[in-house]
Amino acid sequence: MTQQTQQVRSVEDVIEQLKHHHKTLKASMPEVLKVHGADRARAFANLCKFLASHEALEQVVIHPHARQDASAAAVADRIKEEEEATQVITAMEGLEIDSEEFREQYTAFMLDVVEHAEHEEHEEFDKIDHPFSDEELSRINLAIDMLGHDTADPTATAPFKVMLEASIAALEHDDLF
Amino acid sequence: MSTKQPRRIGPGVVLPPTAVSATESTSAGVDSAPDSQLVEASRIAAVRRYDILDTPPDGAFDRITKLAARLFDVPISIVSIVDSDRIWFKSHHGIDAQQVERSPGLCASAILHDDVYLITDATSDPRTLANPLVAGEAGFRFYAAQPLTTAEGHNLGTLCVIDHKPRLITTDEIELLQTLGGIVMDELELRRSARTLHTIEAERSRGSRDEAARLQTMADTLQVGLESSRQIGRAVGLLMAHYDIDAEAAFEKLRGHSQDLNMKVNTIADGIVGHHNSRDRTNPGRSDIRP
Repeated sequence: MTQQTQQVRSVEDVIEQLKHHHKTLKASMPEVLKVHGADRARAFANLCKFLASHEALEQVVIHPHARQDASAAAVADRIKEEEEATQVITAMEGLEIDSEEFREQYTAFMLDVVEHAEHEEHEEFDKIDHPFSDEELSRINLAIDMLGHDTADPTATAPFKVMLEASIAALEHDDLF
Repeated sequence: MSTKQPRRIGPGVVLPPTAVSATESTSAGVDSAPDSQLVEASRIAAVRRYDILDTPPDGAFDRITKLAARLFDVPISIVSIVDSDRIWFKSHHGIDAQQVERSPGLCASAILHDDVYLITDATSDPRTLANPLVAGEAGFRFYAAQPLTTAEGHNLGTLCVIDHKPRLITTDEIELLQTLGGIVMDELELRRSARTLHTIEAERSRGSRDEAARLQTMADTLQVGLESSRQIGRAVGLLMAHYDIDAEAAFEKLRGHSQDLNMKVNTIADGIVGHHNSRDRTNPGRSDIRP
């Protein structure tokens, strides 16, 4: 799930990157159920790490920016879905990775993520037409950089909620910009 | 990125370098091996073992077909089970039919292969251009199916994605379809295991009930036997007292009456004791035994 870390400079670059993230997610999510035991735990941890960085980027930069161009209600719906997804991931983190409950919840989660991503692309990303500021672009490029690497040891991974909060804090840190 | 050159798959359809047709045989998928009937009989037996045909809709399978349709951006996705004379849909996203006849069904061809069965443009593919699902109202053009293969190697049916437009498919998408097919198979195995467990427990429970009933019958029989013995003992006692004879002579007298009257010994004993009790209640102290 390692990402390319090329710098984005325009609205088109940003949207292309975000859609690429969605494509990566769609392709990699089913992989979690393809394997079992420690391999599944590792795949799930990597997915959560990717999701945390991606969601942080959207919450810190993209959603606030999109509110100027897209429907406020549509943006609010996406944010609500992301909050619900955090709860679902937290619940899944408490399940035995090879259990029936995990598979059931994860399959439903995949569907939710795909639908969320499609709504986001059509109702939010495609509506963005005013340029990102230099500060926003710096934050976006930092987020893309954070998305870079897989987690080798799932036991060393923090819970999704902690990773999300840490990613948000990193992107919001004023000293960086 | 693969270094393979683009390939032409049927008239007018070119697969990009990364796209593959996992199964591109030009045959209609008919297995002409002499043991094909045996293989099919064995496959149908496997379908029966999974006991999935005509079961109610199940959210787990519906989520997978919906997810497959979304991920492949196609209008239709189906989990099919190929029965002897029909193709039954365990889940059908984007199509109302619950089943189709086996003869024109694309899934019937797909299960004859062990990897992804792919038709990128059915109207120009010699395997399908005359198929009523392609030429008819359904108008299927793109069809990709992952066989649902059991651990024993039987293809029960497929997870398939279908479009009304011709389209290409990449190696990544083929892997994705295989992964989703694996998830469907896991769900089928889970339900089979649950049913097996349920059957074992039901048999165990029925066995326990049968054993309890058998023991009760045995106890009842013993109780009846014991009561009969007691009654015979009482009758022998009364006869001993009445005739002033020993127990052996009293029992022989009882048996003699039984033979004379062609009645069971315990029935005669019941009569003697009953008569004695009734006389005792109306005329205490008198002994008048007449078996």
